[in-house]
Amino acid sequence: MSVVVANACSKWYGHVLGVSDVTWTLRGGIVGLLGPNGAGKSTMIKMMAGLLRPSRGTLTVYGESPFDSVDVRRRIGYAPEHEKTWDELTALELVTAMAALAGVPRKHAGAAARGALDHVGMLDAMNRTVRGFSKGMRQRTKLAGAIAHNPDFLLLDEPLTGVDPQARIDIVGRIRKLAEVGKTIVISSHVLYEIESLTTDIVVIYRGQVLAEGNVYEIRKLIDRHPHRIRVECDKPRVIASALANEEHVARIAFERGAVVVETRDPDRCYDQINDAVLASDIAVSVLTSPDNNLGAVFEYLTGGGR
Amino acid sequence: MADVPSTGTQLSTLVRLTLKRMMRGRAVWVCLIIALSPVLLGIALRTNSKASEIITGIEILVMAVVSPVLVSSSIGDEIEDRTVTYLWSRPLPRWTMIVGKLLALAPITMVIIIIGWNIAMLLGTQALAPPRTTAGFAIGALAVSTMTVGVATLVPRFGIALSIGYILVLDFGIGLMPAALREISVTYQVSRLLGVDENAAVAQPAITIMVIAGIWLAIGLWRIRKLEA
Repeated sequence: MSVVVANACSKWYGHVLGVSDVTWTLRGGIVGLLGPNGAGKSTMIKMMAGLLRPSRGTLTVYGESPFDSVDVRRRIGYAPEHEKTWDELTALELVTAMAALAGVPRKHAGAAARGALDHVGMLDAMNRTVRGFSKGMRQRTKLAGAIAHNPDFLLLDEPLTGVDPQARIDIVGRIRKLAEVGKTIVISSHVLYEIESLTTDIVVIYRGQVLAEGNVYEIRKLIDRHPHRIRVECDKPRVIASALANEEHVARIAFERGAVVVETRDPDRCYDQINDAVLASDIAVSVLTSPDNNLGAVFEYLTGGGR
Repeated sequence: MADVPSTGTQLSTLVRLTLKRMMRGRAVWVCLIIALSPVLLGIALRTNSKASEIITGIEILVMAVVSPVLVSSSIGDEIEDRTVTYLWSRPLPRWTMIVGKLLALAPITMVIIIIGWNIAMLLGTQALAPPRTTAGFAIGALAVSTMTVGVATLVPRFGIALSIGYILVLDFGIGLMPAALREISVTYQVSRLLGVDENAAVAQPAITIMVIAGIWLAIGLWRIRKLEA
């Protein structure tokens, strides 16, 4: 049975188009939704999570409308893109409440929450309030909230945005483990290299439409022709810059307040070298992002806008 | 994989979640301070023969402020901060969010107002508040909380301000009109319940208040079904 079937599915927010006429079937595994900010990824994920109702067409999850069917939502785990959670609670309280609301019996909800927090590497911080968490810790806590009730289908909206390189590797590993035990996972990102580390099965979405589906390699070739920007917010941006300055794949290095922005033609190598520099010089990285201008340029090219 | 929880379980989880969050937030303490402000008035009016009437008037204003601050902020912030996505992506019917929050917060609102009222009256008049007035304020607080739910779901961003504005300006204004229109004013009906109008019966204003509150609750439930996160 297909997990998701979208049939001529469109969503408008007033006069603004969210997604347009999407027909798509998801049968299982890990699928990456790739597209720049505002492309329609979050709209697709929210429709699958039952938070939005399609304006036109249909979208079903396990054969039912997630917006209308309470039953099917017990099979879905959703980690939203936005950071805000119930910040007054501790991580354990938050995930326990999410598990209980998803139907885990009250007496088992605490244990389920501990298990989920353990899975995402948050056991040590589980009794701290979420308010004081870094972005990476919030991402992990949201992931724990999504998996605590052991759902079949996981929707992860930009789960790697803003997390430091070590945490990124760790979270990717943990998401892979979830797929290995048979979960169907949809993960969105505007960074190809994040998704590529998880799956080769991608759906490219741009301006609300599915541009391409399936093989990651062709889109990667296109993206590699454009310099890829990586922004690192840390306490020693100049140390990272000097570690990369003589690398031939680096096209440009610029400094912003408390951050260094690197433009590279070999993102994989660049990420590895940033990681090495961070570990070698004990650099405290607060945010690592990849602005999506480069991906937008590629999509403009794909749709003919860049010709 | 978890089963779909029963409605009772869902509501009790939502009530406990709401209470836990509320106790760690500022709104409840702000409300407590507002609700206890008539106590100071009671002390100041100890020798005043009009103490009872003045405290009653102020307590109606307190009721119009405390319920929106507590209830409207809880619902409005949940929608505005998009934390409602954590609820609506779970196997919960949407109405449970509103009913769960009301079950958690309306009793708190009622208790806070009743405590403030009784202490103020005890200090201001050196006598216990008549039970009818205590019941009147309890019903009034419940009704205003329910009205607030409707407003908060219609305009989450400005839920508190609009709820307070609606009650203090529109509802209060309608209640002052001599015509039959004032029958739809909750504050007017509460004043009848309190016995401000000596000829007033108890049943009719109580029923009218419940009907008005029911309409607002229906608006809230209708709106929450349509809202998207």
